[in-house]
This record gives sequence, structure tokens and C-alpha cells, in this order.
Amino acid sequence: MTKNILKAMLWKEWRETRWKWLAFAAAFHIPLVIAALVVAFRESARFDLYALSDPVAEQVFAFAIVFQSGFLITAGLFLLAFFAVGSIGAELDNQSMFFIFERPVKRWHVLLFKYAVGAVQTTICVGLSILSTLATVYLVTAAMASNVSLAGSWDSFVLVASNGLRGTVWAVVVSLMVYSATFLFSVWFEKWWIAVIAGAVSLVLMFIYLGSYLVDWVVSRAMRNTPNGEGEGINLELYSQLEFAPIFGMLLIATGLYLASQYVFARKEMR
Amino acid sequence: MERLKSKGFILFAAAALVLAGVAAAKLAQPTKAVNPRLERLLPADTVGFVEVTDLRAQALKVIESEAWREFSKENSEASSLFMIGANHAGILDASYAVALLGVGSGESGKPEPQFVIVAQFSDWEARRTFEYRVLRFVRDGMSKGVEIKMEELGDARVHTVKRLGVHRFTYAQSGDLLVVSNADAAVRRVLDVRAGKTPSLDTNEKFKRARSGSSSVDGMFGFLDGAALTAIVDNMPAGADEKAAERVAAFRQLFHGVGAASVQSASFTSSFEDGRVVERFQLLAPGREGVLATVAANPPTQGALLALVPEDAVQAFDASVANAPQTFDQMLALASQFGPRPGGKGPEAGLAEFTEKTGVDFRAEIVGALGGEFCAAQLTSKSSEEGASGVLILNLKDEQAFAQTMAKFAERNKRETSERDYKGVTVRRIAGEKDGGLEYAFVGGNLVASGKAEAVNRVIDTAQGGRSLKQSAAYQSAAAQLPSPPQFIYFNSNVEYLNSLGRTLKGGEQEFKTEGQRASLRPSFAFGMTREDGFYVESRTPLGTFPRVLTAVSSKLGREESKGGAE
Repeated sequence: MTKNILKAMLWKEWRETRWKWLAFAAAFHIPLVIAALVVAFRESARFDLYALSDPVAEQVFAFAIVFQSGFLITAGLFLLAFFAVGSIGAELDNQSMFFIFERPVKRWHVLLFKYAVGAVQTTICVGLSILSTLATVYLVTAAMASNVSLAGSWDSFVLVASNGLRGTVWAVVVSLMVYSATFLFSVWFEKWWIAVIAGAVSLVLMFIYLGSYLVDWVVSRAMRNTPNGEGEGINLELYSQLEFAPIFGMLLIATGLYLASQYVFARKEMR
Repeated sequence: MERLKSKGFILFAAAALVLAGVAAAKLAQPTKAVNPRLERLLPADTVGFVEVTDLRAQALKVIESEAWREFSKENSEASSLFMIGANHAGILDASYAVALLGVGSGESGKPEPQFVIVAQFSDWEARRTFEYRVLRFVRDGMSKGVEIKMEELGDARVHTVKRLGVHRFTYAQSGDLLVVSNADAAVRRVLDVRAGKTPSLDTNEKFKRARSGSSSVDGMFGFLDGAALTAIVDNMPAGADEKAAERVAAFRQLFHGVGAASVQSASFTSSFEDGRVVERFQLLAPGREGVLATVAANPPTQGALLALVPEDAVQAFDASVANAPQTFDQMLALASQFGPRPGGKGPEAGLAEFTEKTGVDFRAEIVGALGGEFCAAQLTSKSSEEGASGVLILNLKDEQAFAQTMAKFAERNKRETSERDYKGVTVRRIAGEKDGGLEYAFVGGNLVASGKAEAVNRVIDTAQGGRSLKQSAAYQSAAAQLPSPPQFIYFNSNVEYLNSLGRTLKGGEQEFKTEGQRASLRPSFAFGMTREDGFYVESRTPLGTFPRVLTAVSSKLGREESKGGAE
């Protein structure tokens, strides 16, 4: 495969998915939209925001990343499944895949590109949404609160952002696993809606067996504030503590799902 | 560009625009609590009421105020959590009025004042929050034996709360309105006004005059109908026995003697201007009588004694006391009419005893010796260990005579006396009974007295060319707003304001600093003056009375709520 072919395939993937990706990125900031609506329509919320001061802003930032993380590992995963399901299925369904096969590329290269571009888009979107949400909250708070300034709350922002990186790692790993699973369904089922149903069912099953652990690893501990569940507010130290076993396990599952996609794709009969 | 013309994009943009429009309309729409004019719900013969308009707006103005901003720098976390706590206590989304509707007969047949609280909430949800959090707390507080009877009255639900068969309070709710009173009849009177069956207070001519005379009514407004109050006093039942009848008659005489019956109305406003609170009090009494007339005849103060107060004084009060002897005589005559309390002495006997013990005739030698002006000030100490000290400066008619009075007092009471010279001025000291004592000197025909020598010395320094408060830029700037010569002036540099605010707010969940806070707030300034139609008092302070009451109430409710939650 020449460099030009590589560039052409990357360009094709980007051209095809960039608007969808942008919409996906926007959808991942739904918590911000909800917060904006609450502030716009609820006077008491505006009052709270206005009464904030630099030291209290840290709790608001912490709440923002915990809320966003909670969204990412719950409703966000369904959004992600919806995004990933169009990776292959649509091209198989409308038979545009055959145009790619006309090029001097191997079948597994096509799937690798599609998977890689989609995975990078997904993980960037999911991972950065925690930090972009936090940055937005930081700017809005400084603009609206009477006793919060950019300089005064900078230390709080940096502290929360650095803790937020752990949440980013978790969100990226979980999203990669879910993306890989839905990608497999997209390869497996040519009709996109069947893949969506399969993705949703597998997500529900994942929540049944893994959901409580996942929520606990990422957000619950921080909300309980102390290991005993006492205290008020959010304890950033307990937020998204990195645990090797589940993270490594999820990465292994993601790899396995990708390889399964290649296996299915290699043997897939396309007409 | 083609994508921008797509149907989906246009639909999405239209939906976003509609949403933004709804949000803007919602934000622009004033709530009922913003301008409730609660006088429209009170009967025309209401004796007096105080209204707080839109507590949330006031709380926001407190946050924006110069003082709170400075306070937040020192108490950043606590001030923020305090306001957020007030927000969640469920009391901010409303305007309130507390009114005295009159005197009715209670369950036992005894006369009892009818107070009513009218709360207009921004919406029914806010009313329900208040009702659940506050009224429930009151009801639960009375715990056992509480019986609540509910009755529909028009579109309102009237709840009568009794404990052990005794009526405690009644409240009515309708939509976003809540009416609470100690008297069942008072709630029904308010509901009648609301239903248009009886005229409201805003048809009362005296009220209209007071309202229109107030330059601002967006914060707090108070009104008292002088004639209605006089009618209550005049029609007060004589009491069960002879002594009670005598006391009622004496009080009535006192009321008329001080000239209270000549007051047509009194009004009070409190609002934010330029980041601080302006409070105005107006007493309408064109035909004033009694003590009121004597006080009104007092000439304005020249503020001459303020020229003796050092520039860095913490606070100072200066007043004209030219008519003090006449006022004293009138008050004494009125007090004499009360007669001695059982086992006590009458005012005449009390004065005679004072003369016998001290050797000083209080009326002739102290009150009679006063000149035209009086000043009390609190000075900062040069040494940080000693706190601020008070000093009294009195303008005297006859310095020599007053000096003899002081000497006579010391001799009669066998107090040790001493003299020292400070920059050519003789400073005398009369030792106290146990410790301490009084340092005093005469400066330019004025008595300067203090418990601390340093305070007297500093006044002497000022008299001998030191910078005085009157010359200071802060005082000059504050005094520039005087419309005409006042009868009294109060000035406070506010160097201690943040500490004092911290002390006011402490006791709740938040910890506030009460020491060591220094802020360069603009000084507080108040003045009072006689006008043709009565009296006028105006003050400009960092937060005034109202916001401190607001914050105290918010703090109290927030605390009670959290206690309840903990249980």
C-alpha cells in the first residue's frame, strides 16, 4: 500500500465522517446544555452561580467533571454506539464498499482504517469532553460569578483538571470497548438498525453485569466523599482511581472485539 | 454553504432560535414577587406595615454591594456558602409585608393586636417550598396536641392551627400568596381585601402621600398611620382593676404628652444606591405638639465640636441640645404623671436622691449647664494593645460653674482627684469608686471627658492644630450631601465594619472572621433635621438595617432547616 493510497483512505474516512463526528462531539456536551437551561430558567441556579467565590468554585468544577463522567459512562455509551454503528454497515448496505475494493488495498486494511479512524475520533471526543466541559464551566463561572476570577480560580481549575485526567483514561477505555463491540455488530449486520439493536442490547447486558462496578470505579466513590461514605461534597482523590485489572481487561476485550471484526469481515460474503 | 441551506440545518436552527426566544422571554418576564405592592392586600385602616420587596433581588444587591465584596475577600468561602444557604432556605423567592391591622378581642375576650404576614411568592412552587420548610417547622415545633382545621374561602384555603385547644395561628394560601396571622379575623380581613369586598390600604390618602413622598421603594418600605395608632391608644380598654386603669390612663397621657398623637404618619424606606444602602425616615407632623414640638424647635447643630474630634475617629455623633432643659422638664412632668412604681420612687424623688448622694442638682447643674451642642466619639488608640476609646465633648454655658460641679461631686463622694498639664491645658482626673476614673479638661468652653487619658490628650492635640474629623476629606465628602443644616449628624469611618458584620453573621454553619479585617469602605453618614411638615432622617451605610436582618433571618432558617434534616 503506497503512501498516496494511505492518505487517500484517511482523507475519505475523514470527509465521510467529519460532520457526524462534529455532531457527536456536540452531543457529548449535553450535560452542559442541560446546565445552561437550568441556569437560564431557574433563578435559584443563577443566584447560586452568582454567589460563588474562588474557593467554592473548586466544588463546582469537581461536580462538573463527575457529572460529565457519569454521563459518559451511561447515556454517552448509547450515543457512542449510535455513532459507531455506521462505520461499516452503511457502506455494506449501500454497496459503496465495492468501490474501495477496486483500489489496491487488502480487505483487512480497509477495516483497520475504518476502525482506527473511528476509534481515534471516538476516544478524542469522549476523552476531551471531560476537559472541555470543565474549561467551559471555568470560563462561565468566572464570567458570571461576582467573586470568581480566572486568576483566582486557576489553581482550582488546574487541580480539578489534573484529577479529571484519570476520568479521561477511564472514559477512553470504556468507550473503546463499547466502540469495538458496536463496530463488530456493524461488520456483522448489514442493516444498520439491526446493529443498533444489537449494540443497545449488549450495552444493557454490560450495564447489568458491569454497570455498578463501572459507576463505582468512575464516580460513586468520589460522591461518597470518604471510603466510609461520610462527608459532604466531592472528594477528588477518590474520583476515577486508576485500577489496572479492569482497565487492562477492557483493553483486552476491545482488542478481541476488533480481531473478531477482522475475522467476520474476512469471511463475509458481500453481494 | 450548501449544508447551511439543507432542510435539516434550517429546522435545527429554527428550533434553537425558538428555544433561545423562550429562554429570553422567560428571563425578561418579571415575577409577581418583583413588584407586588402588598398594600393592595391590606385593609385601608391598617395601622402600620413594613414591606420587603423581592428578597432575592435584595440578596443580589447585597452580593453586589461594596461591603459584601470586601467581606468576601476576607471570608471568601463562608460568604459564598452563606448566600447559597440562604438561597436554599426557601425564603428568597418572595416579597413580604408584616402589618399591624389593629386591635381585636382574643379568644379570652382580652384585647390583642392583630399582626399579619403577607408573602407574595414568585410562583406557587416557591410558596409551597416556603410553606413546607417554614410553616411545617413552626407546626412541628409545637409538636403534641396540634390540631389543624382547614376551610375553603373563595379560592383560598384557610388553616387554623390550635394546640391543646388554644388558637395559635391561622394561615391562608391561594396560588402564590400566603397570609399568616396570630388572629383568625386578620387573615379573613386580608382575604376580603383581596376579593375586593373591602377597600385596600392603597386607597388611604395618608398612605398615598407617604408612598409618593418616598423617593425609592424598591427595597424596604414601612408606613405607620398616626391617626390609626392614636385611635388604638385612645380606645384601649381601661383594664380589669383600678391600678391597670391608672396605668392605661397614664400611658395615654404620655402618648399625647410626647406629641405622638400629632403625628399624621411615619414612613421608612431602605434601598440600594451606588453599592450601598440609603435609608430614609420621614415623620409627618405639621401640627406637632408636646415634647415633639420642643425637640423640633431645637436649632440645627453647627457641628463645631466635630472640629475637636481627631481625623481618624472610628465614629462620632454630634447633636444640637439647645432645648435639652425644656425637653427634660417636659419628660420629667410626663414621667411624674405615671407616679411611682410599686416599691419604687417617682422621678422627682429619684432626682432628689441623686442630689443628696452626689451633691449635684442634675436639672440645674448638669442639664441646665449644657450649651448648644453635644458630641460623642470613639477614637482609635495609637497603641495597638488598647482598644478604641470613647470621648464625650459637651458645649457648656458656663465652664467655671461646671468645673465647680465636678469638684463638688468628687468632694462629696470622697473621690481622689489629681491634675496634670498637657500642652498648657489642665487635665483633671476623678478616681473611680474601685478602679478607673474620669479624665476631663475644658477646651474652648467645652468639656472633654473620657475614661482614658489618651483620648482627652488627642482632643487637645486636635484643638491645638491637629487634623480634625470635620476637616477630613471623608467627612467633607459625606457632609456635602446635607440639604440643609441638620439637628444631628452621625459619622462612622467603617474601619471596623467587616469585623462587626462577621460578628453579626457568626453562629451559623459558616465561620466568619470577626477580628483583624480592615477595609477601605466609604464612611457611613446619617443626619436628621426638622422640616416644616415634620422630621426627616437619612442614612447612607454599607448594608443598612435591612440586609443585616435579611442575612440574619436567612441564616436562622437555614440552620433550622438543616437541624430538621439531621433529625
